[in-house]
Amino acid sequence: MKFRFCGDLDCPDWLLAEISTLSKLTSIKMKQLCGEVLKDLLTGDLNYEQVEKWTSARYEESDIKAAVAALAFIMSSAAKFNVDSDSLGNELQQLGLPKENVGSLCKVYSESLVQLQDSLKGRSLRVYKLDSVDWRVDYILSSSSLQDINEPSVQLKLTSTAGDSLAFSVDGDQFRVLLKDLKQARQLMENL
Amino acid sequence: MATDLELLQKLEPNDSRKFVHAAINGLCEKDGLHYEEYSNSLSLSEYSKLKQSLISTIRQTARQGTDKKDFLDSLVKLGAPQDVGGVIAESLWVRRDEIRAQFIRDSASFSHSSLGDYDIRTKLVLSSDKLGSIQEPLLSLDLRLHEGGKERVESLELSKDELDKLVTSLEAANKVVLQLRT
Amino acid sequence: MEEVDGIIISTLKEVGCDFEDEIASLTQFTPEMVVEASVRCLQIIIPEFQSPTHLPDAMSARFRMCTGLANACQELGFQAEVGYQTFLYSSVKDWRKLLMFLLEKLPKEAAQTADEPTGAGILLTRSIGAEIGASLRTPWTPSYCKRESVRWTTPTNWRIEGSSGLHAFTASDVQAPTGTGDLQKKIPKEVKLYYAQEMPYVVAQPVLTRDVLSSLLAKNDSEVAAQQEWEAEWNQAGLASRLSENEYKAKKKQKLMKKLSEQLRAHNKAETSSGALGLGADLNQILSSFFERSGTGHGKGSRFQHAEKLQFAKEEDAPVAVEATSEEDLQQQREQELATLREQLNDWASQYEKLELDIKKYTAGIERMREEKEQQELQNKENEDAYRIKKGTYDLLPQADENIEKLKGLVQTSSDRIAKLAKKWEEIRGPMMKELRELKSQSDITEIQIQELLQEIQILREGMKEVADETRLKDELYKQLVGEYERMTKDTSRSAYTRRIMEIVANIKKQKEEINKILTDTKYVQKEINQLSGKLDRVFQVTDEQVFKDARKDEARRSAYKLLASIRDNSKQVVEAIHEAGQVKREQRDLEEQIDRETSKKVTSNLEKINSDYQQMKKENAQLVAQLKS
Repeated sequence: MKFRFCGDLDCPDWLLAEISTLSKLTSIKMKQLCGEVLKDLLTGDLNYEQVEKWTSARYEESDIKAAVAALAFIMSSAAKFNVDSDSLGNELQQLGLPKENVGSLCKVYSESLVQLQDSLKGRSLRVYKLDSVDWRVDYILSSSSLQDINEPSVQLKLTSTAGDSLAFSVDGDQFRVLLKDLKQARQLMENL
Repeated sequence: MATDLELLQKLEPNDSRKFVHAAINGLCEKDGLHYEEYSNSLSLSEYSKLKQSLISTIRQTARQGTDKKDFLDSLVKLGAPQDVGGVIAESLWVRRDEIRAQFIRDSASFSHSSLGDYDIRTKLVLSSDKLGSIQEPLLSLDLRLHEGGKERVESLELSKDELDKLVTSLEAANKVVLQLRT
Repeated sequence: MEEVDGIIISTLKEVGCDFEDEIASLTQFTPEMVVEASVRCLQIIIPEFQSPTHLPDAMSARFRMCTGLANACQELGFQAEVGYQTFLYSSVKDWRKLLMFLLEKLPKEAAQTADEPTGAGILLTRSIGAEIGASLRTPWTPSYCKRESVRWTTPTNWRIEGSSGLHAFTASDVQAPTGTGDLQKKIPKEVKLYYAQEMPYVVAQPVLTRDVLSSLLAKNDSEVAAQQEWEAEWNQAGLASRLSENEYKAKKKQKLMKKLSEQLRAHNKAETSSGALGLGADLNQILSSFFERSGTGHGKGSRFQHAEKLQFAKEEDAPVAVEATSEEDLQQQREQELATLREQLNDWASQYEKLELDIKKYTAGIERMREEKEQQELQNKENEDAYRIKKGTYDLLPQADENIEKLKGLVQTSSDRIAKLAKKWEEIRGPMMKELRELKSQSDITEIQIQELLQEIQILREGMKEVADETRLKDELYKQLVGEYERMTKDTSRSAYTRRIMEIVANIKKQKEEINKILTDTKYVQKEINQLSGKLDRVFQVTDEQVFKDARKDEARRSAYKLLASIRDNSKQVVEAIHEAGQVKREQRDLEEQIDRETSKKVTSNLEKINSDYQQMKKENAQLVAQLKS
């Protein structure tokens, strides 16, 4: 069977196996656990003690790991393929997860779907991210190769979010063309 | 050094003018001198001597002013023979704007690194491993930086917001540049 | 059937058939027209189908062509029987069936695209999808089969795959002759000569040939950007300054120079007066030459030349010294000498620097001294003035009263004179002032006029830009609309279809109603017949019973009963006869219809035609045989 939340592919076997583990939880505990896993997906910050406290009554340690992994997979994969919470609920029920548990998972999921997708978009591969632009305009009076210049020149420093900066000088004519080209590109991007 | 310029007299008048112009071409980063074209009248060592002294003479002469008479005076001072000086001065005067533009570019590229060429590409990101459908436009900007004779290519990727930021910064800089431009 | 014919004919016209306007039904069609229509349809359905659109004159060629057409139709899946006779000798009905089949097979892409919503984003996504789909469908080819990573799909279609043929956008400066467009302006002789003989073609200018295109693009871009910037500035600030373009530029440059030099001078002064000579000698030199230039327009930087000369002089000295010693062993000595010379040179250079510094300091000192001196002189003068006044008063002191009287008189006369002068001044001033006021008001008026004109110019320029923008927009809109219109025309046939379909449906409804009416009519008639026959039966029964009862009593009554029975038989026969007549009538109508149908097939005329065609063919064959023999 194909599932939309798996990207119209078969459900992975390990997930099928862990559905029964997830079924053991009460719907309230399920909701708490989902909330925690979602927080982990958004901020990368999982409160291990809290999770253990909630689940240790029914779970072994390996079960806890498996449950967290399964929930993380279900939610991130569903958000990746833009599945709405109703269809996600239907598919999870087809996989054998009890209705109450499905309900609490879907509630958490639907509440933060947009946030989750934004965070996934933000973490998608980018070669370079611009953080800040510094500039300085110089006026060249004279140089060893030409006595009488009197032309402006621009010094630019681009700093990426990774922290490395790129500093270079641009002469006046080229600066003009660069600015024009960039504006044109922006126009193009706005039209999309 | 300037005495080497006398070798120019060994060429036909038309060829000597051609030689000077080709040297200027080379100076302006264009396709410049080729020995084969002058191999009939100049030996290789003569050719390279003449080339060297001519280029350095041009550099020294064109550095100051744009007046034909200035060129001639300066050439005579440097010790160039009268008729050779005339040819050089004329060629320099004809191409004064081109040479000046090249020297300005040269001066701008003295700094540690300077922008040579750049390439702009707008892309539409469709999908990633994290998200199935992204549909976000990105601008990839390749900057070719000259750093002390070497070339380095830096690739930037800008989203629309980042591009906005960059353009606003550059606009502010451009306002200042506009005041300085005459 | 007329609606169907209309649709068929209008569609055929769209396909490109050249029919006359008055043809409104398939009954007016000739075999030639049918053939043309079929060929055009087939050409659209099967792009590689090739056939002339008109029937040839020769009979055998006609048969061959029609057989080909029939085969093509059968290949497309036409169910009914089709052959050359369908085109040449068939009835309207068969033609209609064939043409309807062909029209159904016509591709319907145009209608499909018109339905979908359009938008730049959607269009882009769709074209991306199409592109990815196409590249997924094409088989992989090794890179050496794609020169410069170009894959040719058809002789005219190609696609870039991979990036082996790509190179970075690197541009170098290129030059082209300027000012050749304006014949009024004279190009200097030397420049002309350069353009004519020495200037390389732009394609030969870049060092790498592959940079030609990018260089040209970059050059053009840079010129466009410069022009745009200048235009914007001119519109904003230039026009208001009321100067010509060159004057404006010169003025701006002058202003800028002044500002810069003032700043630099102030900075320089602060540095020198504080004693810390932070600036290098070179920079000072440049600055001073810059001041000169900014002050006098064009000056000549002398220091560079001096420095150059100095260097040259030394370089020339050195070889002379070297030549003096010719022995080989003296290499070391030479080097030593060189070293000492170098040291000396360095010493001199540093000494020179120092001296220069000193000179700077001294000149600054001189400047200071001069200022001080000037100040002192000023003070001197002031003191002298004060002394003179005081001396005068002291001299006057001994004969105070007399002198005061004298002074009073003097004052009186001066005041009188002042009054007189004032009067005179007023006299002269009055008209002058009037004139001044007039002139001022006049100049105000002209000022206002100029302002208005300037505004007008600005408005006009903006208007020009707006109009240009508008034209561009309109052009785009026009293109879009033309595109839409092209799509629309296909749409109209669609709407015509639907309209006709609706009409047909309405017609069918009407016909159905009529049929229903007739049905109820017949039912009613049937019922009446049944009723009547029942009534007849019952009446017979009753009479039969009554007459039978009385029959035993009387002979005459018995005969009456017999007669009754015979009447009954007869009337039954009559009813049956009527029934039979009805049936016969129906059969007759059927037969008549059949006859009509058969006659419509024009069998006889067709036969005649076939006969004549056959004769003609025979003739042609005979001719061919004769030709062959001869």
